[in-house]
Amino acid sequence: MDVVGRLSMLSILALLCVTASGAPSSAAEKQLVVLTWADYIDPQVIAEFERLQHAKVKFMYFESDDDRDDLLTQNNGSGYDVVLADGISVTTYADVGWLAPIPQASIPNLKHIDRRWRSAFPRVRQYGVPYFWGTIGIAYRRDKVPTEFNSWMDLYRPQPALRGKILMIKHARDVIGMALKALGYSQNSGDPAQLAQARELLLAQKPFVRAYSYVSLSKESALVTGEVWAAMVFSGDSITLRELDPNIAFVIPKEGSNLGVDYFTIMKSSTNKALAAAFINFIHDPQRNARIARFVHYATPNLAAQRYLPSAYFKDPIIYPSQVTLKNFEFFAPLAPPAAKLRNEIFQTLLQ
Amino acid sequence: MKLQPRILLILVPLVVAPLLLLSWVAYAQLRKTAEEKTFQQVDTVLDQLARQIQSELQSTEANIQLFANSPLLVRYLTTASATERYALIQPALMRLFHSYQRAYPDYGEIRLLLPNGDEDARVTTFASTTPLDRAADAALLSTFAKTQSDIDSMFVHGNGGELMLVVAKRLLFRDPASDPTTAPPTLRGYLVITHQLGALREQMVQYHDNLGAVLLVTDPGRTALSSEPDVATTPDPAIFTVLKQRDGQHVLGSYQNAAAYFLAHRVHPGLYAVAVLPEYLLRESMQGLTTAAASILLAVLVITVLLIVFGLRVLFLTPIATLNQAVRAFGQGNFIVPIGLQRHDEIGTLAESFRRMAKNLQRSNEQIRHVAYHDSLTGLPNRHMFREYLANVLNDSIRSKQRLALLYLDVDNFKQVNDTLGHHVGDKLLKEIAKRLTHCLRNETGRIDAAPDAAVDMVARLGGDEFIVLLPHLYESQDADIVAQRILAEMAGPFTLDARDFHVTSSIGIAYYPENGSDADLLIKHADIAMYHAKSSGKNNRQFFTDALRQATDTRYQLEQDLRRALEQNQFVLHYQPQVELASGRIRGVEALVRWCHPLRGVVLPDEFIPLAEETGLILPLGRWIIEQACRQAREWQDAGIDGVRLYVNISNVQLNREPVWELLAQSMQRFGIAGARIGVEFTETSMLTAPGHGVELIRRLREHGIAVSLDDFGTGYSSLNNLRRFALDSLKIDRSFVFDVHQSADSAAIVAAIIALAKSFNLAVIAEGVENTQQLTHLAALGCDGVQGNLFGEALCADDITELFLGVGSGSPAELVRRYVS
Repeated sequence: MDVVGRLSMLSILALLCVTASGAPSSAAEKQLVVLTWADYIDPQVIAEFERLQHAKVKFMYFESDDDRDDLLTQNNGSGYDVVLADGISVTTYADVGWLAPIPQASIPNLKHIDRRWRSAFPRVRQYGVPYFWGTIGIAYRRDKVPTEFNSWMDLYRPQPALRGKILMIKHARDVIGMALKALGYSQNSGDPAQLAQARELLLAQKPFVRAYSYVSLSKESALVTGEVWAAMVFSGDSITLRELDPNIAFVIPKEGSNLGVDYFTIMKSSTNKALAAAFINFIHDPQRNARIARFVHYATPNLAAQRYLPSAYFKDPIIYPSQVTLKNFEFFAPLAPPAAKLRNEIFQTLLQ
Repeated sequence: MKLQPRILLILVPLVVAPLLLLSWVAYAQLRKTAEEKTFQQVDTVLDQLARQIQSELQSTEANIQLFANSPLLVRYLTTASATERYALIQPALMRLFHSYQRAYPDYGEIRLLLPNGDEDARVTTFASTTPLDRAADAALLSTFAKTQSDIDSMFVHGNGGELMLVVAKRLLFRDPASDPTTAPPTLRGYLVITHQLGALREQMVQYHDNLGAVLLVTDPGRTALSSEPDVATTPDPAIFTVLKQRDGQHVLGSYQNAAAYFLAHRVHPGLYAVAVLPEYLLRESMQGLTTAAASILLAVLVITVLLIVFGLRVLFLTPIATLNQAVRAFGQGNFIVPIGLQRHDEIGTLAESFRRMAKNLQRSNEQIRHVAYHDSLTGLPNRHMFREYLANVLNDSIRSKQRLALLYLDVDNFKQVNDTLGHHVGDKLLKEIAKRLTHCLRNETGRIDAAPDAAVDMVARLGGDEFIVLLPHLYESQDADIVAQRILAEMAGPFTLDARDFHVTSSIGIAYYPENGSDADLLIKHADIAMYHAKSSGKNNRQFFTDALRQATDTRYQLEQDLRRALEQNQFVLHYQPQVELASGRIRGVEALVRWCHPLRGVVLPDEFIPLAEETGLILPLGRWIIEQACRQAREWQDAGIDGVRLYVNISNVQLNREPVWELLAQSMQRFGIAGARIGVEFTETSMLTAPGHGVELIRRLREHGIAVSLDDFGTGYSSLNNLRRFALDSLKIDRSFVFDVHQSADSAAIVAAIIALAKSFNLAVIAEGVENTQQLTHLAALGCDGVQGNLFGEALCADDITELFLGVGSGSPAELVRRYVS
């Protein structure tokens, strides 16, 4: 690579740094930068917050968990006030030192939150406030697939007809973890032999996979158009998809799934920590929280908000899986470095 | 041998030999150049290949430098927490590596090795096994350790044996968290890029396809990359020792058991880009060149020869053939053959010369024709042309049963004009006559219609004063007569020549086809006869040929035949008539007169046959015989003692004109031994005038030798006094027509008296002939005539009788008569 090329690459990097760090300070009024999934919050609630707080909420979206990791790593955890992360990532981020501890007093609505979720992962109690919880399963076109789905193996070792008709999440923990589950192992396994099996399963599945990317939740979604017949999706999104096309069914495979919990965290580098806490507290106002739940179709850990939700909401097994179903569910656990390294290698090979 | 092969035989080798030489030199040069070019091409490709490899190397080294400075990598290596490193940063790092790989697909592996050689991270595109295992890495690192450079690169063979470029970079960082800024950076690991050379190999295959040369990237031990599908035989290592010394040169060696040229470029220490050019390939490409050169040469030769042949034909042979043809046509008399040559070169000039020559020849031919067919004096057709024309017209007439007429014309007194006024006047007269004749033709005047398309009238000059007119296609026989009359009338008009008027007349004989003959000769002859008839009928008239004329002609012919026979059979005899001297009464001489003793007709007198003899020329032998016979007789008389008597011989004008009369006389006189005093000759006035030199010389000779010369028939001719003076004569003979009535007519007596007076003044003796009675004798004697001759003194007598008379044997001698009647 020539000198010009090197210079341009450096300048792009520099530009990214400037944009990320300069954004909050450049606003005249208070501004809260929130890194989260797209469509994961009711915009009306945000508008209300902005009105009440005389502040501006700037949303930045990541497309995958890995994407978020990259964004944060690039700036060493700076540039954002509030970051939404899954439980095990909160543990990692806390360990890296990017997160600020959240004082209980700053979030009065914390009292409505089920304690169960607040201690589901190491150090989340201190650094995170649960937002919603959900699970991962298989959404599929009932009218296209030859048989109904009920096992992860239906996705990982699919019928020949599904060649090129599958979408997989671009997230190593989910893809490898569910493969381990399909094989009957723990999704957190660090055993190289089990991982080798999972690797084999994944490489065998690769020809069936149209892409490693998250399904779109719009009318143009490949699942709706029929380009894709089956996809790994989060439970709440399956309801959105079902509303787009009733033929899209969702199943939580019999081997169980990951019990995913999303937490709001406040970044150590944030200069708006008070506003950040106020934001987190605001969205856990029970009434507002209920509104958001209906918007996102996920199970809320806010017990008080449940009062404002219809009973049908609770009876939806997709949002609230039965206790029997939940029996085989696991949280993600931290991985030992060799295991992490191995999984990195497997996933990299898969994406190659 | 014809011209074309001969010229080709000379020209073709002249053209072909230099062409062959030139093409051989060009071919050799071309071949050398082509070989050099091939090697140069291969060399260029090798150079390109080497540069490409080196460029790949440089590019990879530059990239690895860049990659190594990535903040993520720095962060990764300086992160103490293994959890954080593997859970959080490694996926990002691998994604970064992956993005590098997407940008540089040739980077088969990007790896991170820990200082102890353990592999920490790897992104790979290799399907299954890692090309470099732990042992290979260890070897790599131990090599690397020996170098000072941060970056090292080497070409290594993968597990599959294929060549790969491995570039490694030492990763030296200070930990910004713990290390002081002055501390030396710690070795954190190595970044290793395994560069696949597949694209390079594809390039080599392409070069191979283009050049035909096998391309290898090799070291003396092992071939790493080959443009051939299977990794091929390694060239003999000995080649490399040579190649090392001669970079860019080619070396002949052996490759896969076949002769091949090797060319090499050093890429990297111990690594060469080698081209193997099979020798047969070079030979084959040269063969193509050879074939091409040979074909071009052949084509050029063929075209050249064809062009030469073509040019030869167009430029020379065809024109020559054309000229030849034209000249042949000229040779056959056809001068209007066009020469189909329009050129502006020498041949064109030659053709032009031929054309001019043809034109001149044609003109000359026409002139010759004109000269041959026309009379040069009058411009009229001549006898020759007339004969041809007549033959044609006659043929026509025979076919179309038409009549035709021939008018034979003779100018009656032309000879006189010619003789008296000279030739130039005669010539002018002839021209004028020709002009008038031409005017008289039917087609000239239009007065007598000729049949359309019919042959036209023609007047031709046959020679001298003889003309002939052809009147073809006569409707009526009068037509010819009309023309004849017209001619006579025209001719009657005076001719003005040299300011003097002349009057001439003409005689015309007319013959018709078919009445008077059916062939040209006969018709002309008959017209001629008719003309003679006209002449004898008083001239200045026309006569038709008639049966009577034919008969007369036949008679004449018979006479001519008899005359010839008479000469052969010696049927002639000489009779002698005495001349009596009036003063003495004595016989002074005799005139020899020839008599023809015809076997059937008896004695024929000269009047009947002499004109015919003169016409036919028989007068010459007859004249000779007469001279000889006369001389013999004179000798006899001399022997008999008869002296004082001259023997007079008549000499015809034909003889004078055609025979050396003097020599004949002299010969005979000598032969018989007689003197000139015994001989005399008689000429007519007219013959003297027509004789060469007017006979003056002849008379002088005769007189010198004592021969007497007498002028016969005096008074009838045109002789002038001047002539009388010039001729040194002895005597004159008064014509019998004057003597006939001298005793009755005063006029005749006056003329005789005048003649005698004239003769006396010239001192000439005067003899009168034809004296038949005594009255005449008395008158003549009274007028002073010197001598007489005639029947009164006896007819002409044969030799014996006259001899007797001389000897006085007979009765009634001349002397007695003279005595009685001459007072």
